[in-house]
Parts: sequence; C-alpha cells; structure tokens
Amino acid sequence: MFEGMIGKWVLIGCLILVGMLIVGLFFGPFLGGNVLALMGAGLAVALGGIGSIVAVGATGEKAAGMTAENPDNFGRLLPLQALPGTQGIYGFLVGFLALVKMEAFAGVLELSLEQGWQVFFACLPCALSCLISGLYQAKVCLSGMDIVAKKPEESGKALILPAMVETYAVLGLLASVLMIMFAVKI
Amino acid sequence: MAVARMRKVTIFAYEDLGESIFETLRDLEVLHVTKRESRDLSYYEEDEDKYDEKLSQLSVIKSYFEQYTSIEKSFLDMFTGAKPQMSYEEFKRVVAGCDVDEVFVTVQKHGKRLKEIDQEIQELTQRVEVLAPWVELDIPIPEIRPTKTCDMQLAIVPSNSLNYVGDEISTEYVHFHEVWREHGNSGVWLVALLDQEPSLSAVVSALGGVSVNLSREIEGYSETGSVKEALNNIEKTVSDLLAEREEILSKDGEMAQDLMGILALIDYYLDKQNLFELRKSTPKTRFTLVIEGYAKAKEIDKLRDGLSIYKDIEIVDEEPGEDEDVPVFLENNVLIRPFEFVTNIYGYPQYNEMDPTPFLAPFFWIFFAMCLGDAIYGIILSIFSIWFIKTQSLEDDKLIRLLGYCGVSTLFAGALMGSWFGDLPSTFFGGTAIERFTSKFAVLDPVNDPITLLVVSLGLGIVHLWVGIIVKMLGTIREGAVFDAIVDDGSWVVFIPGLILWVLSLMGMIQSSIPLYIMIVGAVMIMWSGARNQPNIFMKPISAVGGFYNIVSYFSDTLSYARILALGLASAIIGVVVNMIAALIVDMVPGVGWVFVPVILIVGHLFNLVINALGSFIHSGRLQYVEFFSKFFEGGGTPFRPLKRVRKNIMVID
Repeated sequence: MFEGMIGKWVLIGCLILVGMLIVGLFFGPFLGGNVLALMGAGLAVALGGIGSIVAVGATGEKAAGMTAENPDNFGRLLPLQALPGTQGIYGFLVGFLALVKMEAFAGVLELSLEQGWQVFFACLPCALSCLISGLYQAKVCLSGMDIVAKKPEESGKALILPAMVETYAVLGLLASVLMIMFAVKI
Repeated sequence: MAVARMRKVTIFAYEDLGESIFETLRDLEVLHVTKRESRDLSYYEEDEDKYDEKLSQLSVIKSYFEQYTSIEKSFLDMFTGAKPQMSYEEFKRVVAGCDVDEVFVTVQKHGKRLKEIDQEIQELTQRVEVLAPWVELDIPIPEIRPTKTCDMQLAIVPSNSLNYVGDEISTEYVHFHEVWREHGNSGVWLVALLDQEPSLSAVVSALGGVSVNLSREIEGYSETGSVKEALNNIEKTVSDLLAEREEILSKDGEMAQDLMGILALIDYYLDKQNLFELRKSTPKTRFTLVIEGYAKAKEIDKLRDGLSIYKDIEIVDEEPGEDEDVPVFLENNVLIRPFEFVTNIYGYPQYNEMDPTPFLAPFFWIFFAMCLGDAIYGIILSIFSIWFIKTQSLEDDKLIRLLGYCGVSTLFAGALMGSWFGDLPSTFFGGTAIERFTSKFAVLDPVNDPITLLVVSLGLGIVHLWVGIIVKMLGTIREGAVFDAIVDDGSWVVFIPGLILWVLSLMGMIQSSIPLYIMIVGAVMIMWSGARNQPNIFMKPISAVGGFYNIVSYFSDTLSYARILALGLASAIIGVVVNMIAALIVDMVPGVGWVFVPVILIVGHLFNLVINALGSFIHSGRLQYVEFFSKFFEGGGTPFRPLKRVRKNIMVID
C-alpha cells in the first residue's frame, strides 16, 4: 500500500517545486530576490518535511500495529520509526542556513534577483534528496520491522539497512550547506 | 582481544543418564551443544506431546490471567527488555506446587460459565425490554386468547390512531383498553366478537399496529401468567447471575495473582522442551549416548568439575578440526568489549578470522563523537550510561557502556569544536567566565569553517581505510601467505600515504621529494600485483594498469566520510537554533519570558541529543560495515551460545 503512495508524494513534491519555479520565472522581477530566496528556503523545509511526514506516518502505523501484537518490541521499533524523520530536520537546517545567509536575524539584507535565484537553487539538492530518500527509507524501515518481528535479536541489522538510503539525504544536505555557505555571493 | 580459543568436547555416557546430564550442562552454562539432524525417534514422541500440551495449556491460562492482572513494566523496561525477577527458591516452589491441569480445567470452566452467564443475561434483558411496558396489565397472559364468542389480543399501535376508533372503525363490536403509552405508541388490549367483519386482526392492521404475544417472554418465569410476576422473577434471576459472575471474577482475580508462577512454569516447560529437543538430536546407541559440542578452552576444567558427579562418563576434549563450524566467542578487555556490540550487529567473525572489534573501536569512538560533537551532550550520555547501569539490571550492558564511552569522546570533540549545548555560552553567558572557559578549548568552528572539518573527516576516512587494508594484510600473513600479503595489500599500504603526501607536496605544504619515491614504490608494487597472476604475457601490462582500478572505489569510500561533517553540522546547527529560539522568547514575552527559557532549552536539546545520537550511532556503524569491513572482514561465524536455562518470561535469580 505504501509503495503506491511513494510515487504520488514524489509527484506532489515535484509539482510544488515546479510551481515555485514558474512563479519565480514569471513574477520574480516583481517579487524581488528576497522572495525567491525565501521560496528556496521554504521548499527545503517543506519537501524534506513531506518526505519525513509521510515516511514517519507509514512506519509509525506499522510500528503501532506490531506493538499491539507484542508490546515488548516497542523499544526496537521506535528507532526504526524515527529514522526517516531526519530528512525533515535536514530540510529545516538548510532553510535555517538560508535565513542566516540572508541575515534574517539581524535586519534582513536586500537581495538582488540574481542572489535570490542563487539561494533558491542552493536549497534544491537537499529539498529533493530529502523528499525522495525519506519516502524510500520508510520502505526499507517497514521491511526492517519484519526483521524485528521474526528475529528480534537481529534488530541491529534492521537499523543499518535504512541508513544506506539516508546517505543520499546527507549528501544532499551537505551539498546545499556548502552551496549556501560558499557558493552564494551575498 | 580476539576470538576465544575453543575445544571440541565429546561426552560419552549411559543413555539413561541423558536427562540428568543435560540438566547439569544447562546449569553449568559452558557447553555449546551441536545439534544434529534428528533420526527416527518414535520412541520419544509421546513425551514431546506432553510438553507441547502443557505449554499450550499454560498459554491459555496466561492469556486468561492477563485479562485480570499484568506484570508491572516501567517505561525503561520497554527498551531494556528487562524481565520480572523471581528467586530460585520461589521458582522451585512454583514448579513443584502448581498443578497445571487443575488450573487449566478451572480456567476453562470459568471462561465457559462467564460466557454462558453473559448470554443468559443478554437474553433476559431482551425479555425485560419487551415485557416492562406491560407491567400494569392485570390479565394473566395465558387468558388472552380467543374464547367461545370473543377474540382477544394485545397489540402495539400508534397512539394517535386510537382517535380514529369510532370514526372509521365501528366501536360497536370492538372494545379496547390502553395499557401504556410511550414514544407515540400505545399498548392496547383489544376484545371483539368472533364472526364479525372486520376481524380483530384486520382492526389491528387498520390501526397500523402489530399484535404481540407475550407468552414466550414470560415462559418459565411466571406461574400465574402475570407480567408483573414474570418481571420480578427475571430480575431476581439476573441478580443471581450477576452475583455468580462477581464471584467467578473475584476468584479469577485471586487466581490471576499467580501470573508470575504461570510465566515461570512456561519457562520451565520451554526449558524441558529445549533439553528434550537436544536429547532427541543426540546420537545414541541402545545403551550409550554421545553429546558433542564446544566449550571455551578456559572453561574445560569447569566443565569437567561439573560433570565429575557422574562416575560412568567419558569426556574427551580436543582441538577443533580445520573445516568445522566452530562457534565464536569474542573476548576483549574492558575498554574494547562494549564495541563488540557494533561488531555483533554485522555478525560474528569466522573462528579462524581476526576479531575486528579492536580495530574498529577507536574509529567508532571518534566518528560518533564528531557526528554528535557537543560537550554537554557527551556529559549527559556518560552520566545517563552510569546511572542506567547502576539502577537497571541488564543482561547485556554493552550498548549502554558503549554510549558511556562515546559520551567521553563526545565531550572532547564538543570542547574542541566549542560546542556546549550549541552556542549556549555565547548566547546567554556572553562575556562571563563561562564563555571564556568554554572558548579556551575551541580550535575548530564547524558552523563557520566547515571546510576544515570536511578535510579532517576525509582525512580520518583515509586513515580508516588504510588501517582496513593493513588489517587485511595482517590477516593474510596470519594465514601464512606472507608474500601475497605484502604484494597485494602491502602495495596499497605504501601507495596511499605516498600519494597523499605527494599531493600535499605538490600543494607546497611539504618541501620534500621523498613522498614521490614512496608513491612510486607503491605504484610499482600495485602493477606487479596486478600483473603477476595474468598468464598471458601480452595482457600483463593491461592487468598491471588495471591494478589501479581499486583507487576508484577507495576514492568513493573516502567521500562517504563527508557524512561526519554533515551530521556534525546538523547537530551543531540545531543546537544553535534551539538557543536562538530560547533567546528570542525573552524579548517576545516581556517580563516573564525567562520562565520559558529553561523549558525550551531542555526540550530542544534533549530532542537534538536523542535524534542525533541515533543518527551518529547508525552512521558511525555504517562506516565500519560498508567502508571498513569490506576491506578485510568476512564474518558469518556462528555465535557461541552455551546451553542455558530458557529465560523467556522471567529472570530467575539466586
């Protein structure tokens, strides 16, 4: 059931992204650089968030069902539910760094259109990789829960497999952070 | 610090001692018994069914008792898997004193009776619902029937339809009496002459009502046929049933207090069953049986001592053979032991392989620290670990000790990165001694200077991979292939540092040409290693160059260590964000804003600590499994699991 949802959410995420791009392309000159930068920051937070919300929701659902059957497994299932939650945090981090770059907490800089686009695109690697890796990591977590059910003593392995998917969210985060910090000229 | 030496143990004994010997072995907890394929054992079958039957009875009893009572479990127990405890005396008393069959019969009887009572009460309640409105009817129900000249009926009709009687339906021949009126309906007693049109039934349907017959409802509860009497009797029966139910429930509640005993019995029979399974799979002749297994070389004497109570028994211990699947037990000193947890997640080494734990331990320790990277988080982890070990009784405390150790390294890493609850010192204690103290240790600011941390991360990664190759070389040497080890692995051990130093010298950081020569020596060895197994002389140069192909995988492995920076940044920045929100709230809520500051700080940092400790642990582990182990580790060994008492539900303590 969850597999079917992945495509839908990826599509929704991409539609939001394309929508933002179109808004930026056509109305950017009227809105100004700051709005473009905020759109980028918002995308990172929102897409990363969507990935994690759907993922943690699906894993939580299964974890709850399995805990009902065997409450002793709760401690083993909780980390598996929490794992795909990190993408949302990464997205938030990038959004926050974008705000810092704009000096949002110290009187907000006036960004040119070009600078606005720079921040916008610097946010994208994290936004997209977090959205998609969150969803797919949930898939691995859901299967990992079967390990917990069938072989509780092997639960550690169930934690490592989803971490492989997370790698790419981490890389996306790193790329966005480095871009915002060093490649965006403000 | 290695894989423990094992001895292969074979015990010969009389067949009829079997059960007792296995029980002794179980209590000794030193022998890993090898299971064999079972053969024809019709002779034991009856016994086996006995345990299965007992266990299924016990599981019924357990779930029945659990409706009444439950074993108290604290929130922490859900994570530790701690089991309720029972003393050995108590355990023995329970096992000796409980008649499972009797309890099972009682439980079944009670369960069945409770169901019956519920059904009966439900049925009677339905009767009461029907009868209750007619309580004022003073004619006995059996009397309401056609007489010689009259027809008599009870009916429920819409109340307002009674107004039409007389208009459309002639009252001349129909007499009615309204017994009750409720919710727009009326219960009426009707009487009419027989042999007239319309008949009484037709009148009732013309009024839009239905005839009712109460004889079924009062059946068995009224001798005179009066509704009132029936209602009284039913009420009495229901209260009797309720009393009976109360009684059964209170008896059950009392019995259920013995849930612990039932859990103990389940363990007892699981243990019996386990020993039986082993006994079944033990090779035997008509009079003797042979128990095979492995014990730690150190514990052989303990095994012999323990079995010395049997006179007619022969114990042989010998060095395990080359291709046997010898169970593996990891033995490390107290500093390394907790890191076995990391190794065990991946699996156990083969018996002849090296234990990777001592090699991964320092790296895991450092990687975890750099990912979490906050001094106070480190202190919290260590204190938590100490507190947890002191207060909780854990079967396996490796993980929690590991967290304690990593807390120490996190403290160092946090101090070096100047992170104490994020930037708490400068946000809230700017200019005070606290800030001066914390900034004294800071040498690296991950948030403002991530490139340095990236270089450190990748550098550590290269060292990690390099150590991996060295370990592989050592392993090959241990197996005796010294030449292969030096050419195939030693070449990379030389080449990698040569290459790095050479790059540094190109960048002008080192003024020396020695790195170039080191690199060339390594490169030549790599080419030799690539070419030497290629029989075709013309293909040799291609194979030689192909030897460098590995450099691609080493390069991508190295990049994987960038995650250390990313996770370090994540925890550092979230810490900063928490502090910033706490600082903002002071201005946002004038006057009393300070009240919220500790709440925000505690909740925020706790969240950050938990989420990032999880991430740090998993990613530090991943770097071991994917990047480090792939260099040298094979794994797939069987863990050493000595025969023990089954402790599924409770912990028996001395």
